[in-house]
Amino acid sequence: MEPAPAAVPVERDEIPEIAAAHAARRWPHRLSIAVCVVGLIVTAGLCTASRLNYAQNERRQVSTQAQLVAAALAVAPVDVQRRLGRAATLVSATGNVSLFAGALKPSVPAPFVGARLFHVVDGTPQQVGSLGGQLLLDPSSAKSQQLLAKATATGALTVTRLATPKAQRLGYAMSVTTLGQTYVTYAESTLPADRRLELPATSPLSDMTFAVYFGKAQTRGALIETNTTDLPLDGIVEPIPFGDQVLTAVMTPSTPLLGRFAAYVAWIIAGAGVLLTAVMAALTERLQRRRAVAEQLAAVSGELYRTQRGVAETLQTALLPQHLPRPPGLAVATRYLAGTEGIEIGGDWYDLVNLADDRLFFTIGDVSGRGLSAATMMSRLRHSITAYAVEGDDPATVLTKVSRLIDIARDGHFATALCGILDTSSGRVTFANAGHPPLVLVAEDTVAPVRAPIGPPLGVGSRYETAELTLTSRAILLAYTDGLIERRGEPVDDGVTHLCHVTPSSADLEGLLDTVLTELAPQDESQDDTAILGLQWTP
Amino acid sequence: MDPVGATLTVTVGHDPDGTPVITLDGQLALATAASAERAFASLPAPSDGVTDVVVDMTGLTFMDSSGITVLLTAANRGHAVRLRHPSSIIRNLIAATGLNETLPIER
Repeated sequence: MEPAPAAVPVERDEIPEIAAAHAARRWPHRLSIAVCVVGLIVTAGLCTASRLNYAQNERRQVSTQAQLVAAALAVAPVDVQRRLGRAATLVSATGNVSLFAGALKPSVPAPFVGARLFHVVDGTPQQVGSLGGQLLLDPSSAKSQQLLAKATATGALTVTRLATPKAQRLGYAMSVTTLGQTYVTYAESTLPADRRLELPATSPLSDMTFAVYFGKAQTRGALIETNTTDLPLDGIVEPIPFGDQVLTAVMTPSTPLLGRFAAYVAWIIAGAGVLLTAVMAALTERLQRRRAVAEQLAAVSGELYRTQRGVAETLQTALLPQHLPRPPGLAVATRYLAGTEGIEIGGDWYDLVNLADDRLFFTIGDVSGRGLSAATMMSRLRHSITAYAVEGDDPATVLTKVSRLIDIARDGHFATALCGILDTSSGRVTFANAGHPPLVLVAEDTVAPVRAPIGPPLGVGSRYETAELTLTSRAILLAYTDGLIERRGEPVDDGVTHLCHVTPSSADLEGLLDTVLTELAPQDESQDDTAILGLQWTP
Repeated sequence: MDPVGATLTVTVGHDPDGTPVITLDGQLALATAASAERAFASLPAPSDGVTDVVVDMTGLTFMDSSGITVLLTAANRGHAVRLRHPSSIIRNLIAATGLNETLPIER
C-alpha cells in the first residue's frame, strides 16, 4: 500500500507585481521626488510669467508717467520765452528803454535772479538796461557774445548753463526785432546749487527717482537736478526740448507704481507653489508608504494562504490511515485527491482493518461540507466505525450505531458511508450503505455498479440493511466518494454510469486506479475532494 | 462543487390548506444555503403542532450537499419535509443518497 500523496510543495512564483514592488523599494522616494520637481518647475514658470507681466505693466506705467513729467517740464521754457519776449517787444516797439524794468519787475527775483537788456546796433549788442541782482555771465565774455549773437540770429529762446562751485544757473537770451530795432533780453534763474531737489509729495515726480541733464550726455557735469545720489540712473530716458537746447530726463520709479501688492504677486505665487509642492510631496510619500505596507500585507497573506493550504493538506494526510493492512489473498490500492480550491480540509475518508478469521473490514465515507469541523467529524466517524467493527458488529449494525452519533442540527454536517467485510478465504463480501455512491464491481470483463439497498445518510437513518455478493478470482471492488462521479448538471446515476464506462475491465489494480483518475480528472477549480479504495481478490 | 456566483431566491408562502411552502428559485449551494436555512428557521417550531413543510423546487436548478444539509436539519428538528416538483437531477440525488423516505417527493 502506498501512503496517500504527500502535501504538494509550494512554489513561490516570481510574479510581476512582486518584481514591481522590488523596484519601488529600491527607489522608495522616487515618486515624491518627481512630484517635488514637477511642482517646483510649475511654480518657477508661473513666478517668471508673473514677474514678466508685472515688469511689462510697470514699464508701461513708468513710460506714461515719464511722458507726463516731460510735458510738464516742457512748459518751463515757454514761460521764460513769454516773459523775456514781452519785455523785449515792449522796448523795441516803443523805443522806451525804461519800460524794460517795469515789464520784468514781476519776474525778479523769481523765476529770474536778474535781467539785462541789450540794444543791437550794427550787429553789436550794447547793454542798455539791467534789473535785479548780480548775474554770473560776464557781458564782455566771449560766451556772452556768442549767446547774444545766436539769439539775435535765430530770434528764438537761447539757453546756456552757468556753473560755479557755489551756484548753478541757467541763462536765457531772447531777441525781438520791431521797426528795425533789435533788442535782446537776458535773464538768469537759479538751480539748486547741490543739484538736489526735494519735491513735495503731491508732485507727479514724488514717486519717481529722476535726474535731469543739460544736453544729451548724462554726465555729472551736465547734471542740473536730481533727487538721488545714486547716479547714473538706470531708467526711462526722455528728451525735453528747452529753447535751442535739450534737457534729458532720466526717470525710474522709487516705489512700484502698480502698488506693492502687484510687485509681491510673483513672490506670493512662489511661496504658495513651494508650499503646495511640499504638501503634495508629503501626501505622495504617505500614499507610497501605505501602498508599500499594503503590498507587504498582500505578500504576507499570500504566504499565509500557502502555509494554511500546506497545513490543511498535511492534516488531511495525517487524518487518513498511514499504514493499511496487506492481508494475503488481497491487493489493496488507494488514491486521495484534495479539492483544488481553497485551504479548507475535506471530509472524505477510507479505512481498512483486519478482523479475525481472514476477514477484512473496509470503509469509505464522506462528511458533507469542508473545514476543520468536517475533518474532526470524519475522524470521529472513522474511529467509531472501526471500533464497532472490531467488536464484531455486522456492517448494517455498525452504521446504525454510528448514525446515532451524529446530530445534524448540532454538527451542521451529515455523512455518507459504505462499509463491508471481505472474507479473503471465500471472496464473500457483506456490506451496508448509508447514502453513499454504490460499489463498482470489475469482474469477468464487465464493469457495473453493485445494485443494493441504499439507506439514508448517517445522522438520518436508524436502520440499515446488509447486502451480500461473492467475488470471482481477481475481481476488483471499487469504493469511492462522490468527487469522482459528480458532474455538473448531470444526475448522479449518469456519473456512476460514466465511471463504469471509463474503468478498464482488464488491468492491474494500480493501473486501473490511475486510468480512472486520469479519465475523471477535475474539470474545474472548485472540484470536491476525491477518495478511492480499490480491493482485488487474489486467492 | 460550488457553482461560482450561485444565486437563490427564497419565498415563504402557504398552500390553500395552510401548509407552509418554501419556494426555492435558483441554485441551493454553499453560498446560498444560509438564506434557505433562515426560511426554515422562520417557520413555527414543530413543537407548536405545525410539522408539515412543502419545499417547492420547480425553479431549483442545482442542489449540493449543503442543500441536503439544510433539508435534513429541518427534518431533524421534526419538520415533515415534502419536495414539490424536484428536477430529475435532484430526484436522482435524493434517491442516490438514500433519502427517499426522509425527504419524500410530493404526489
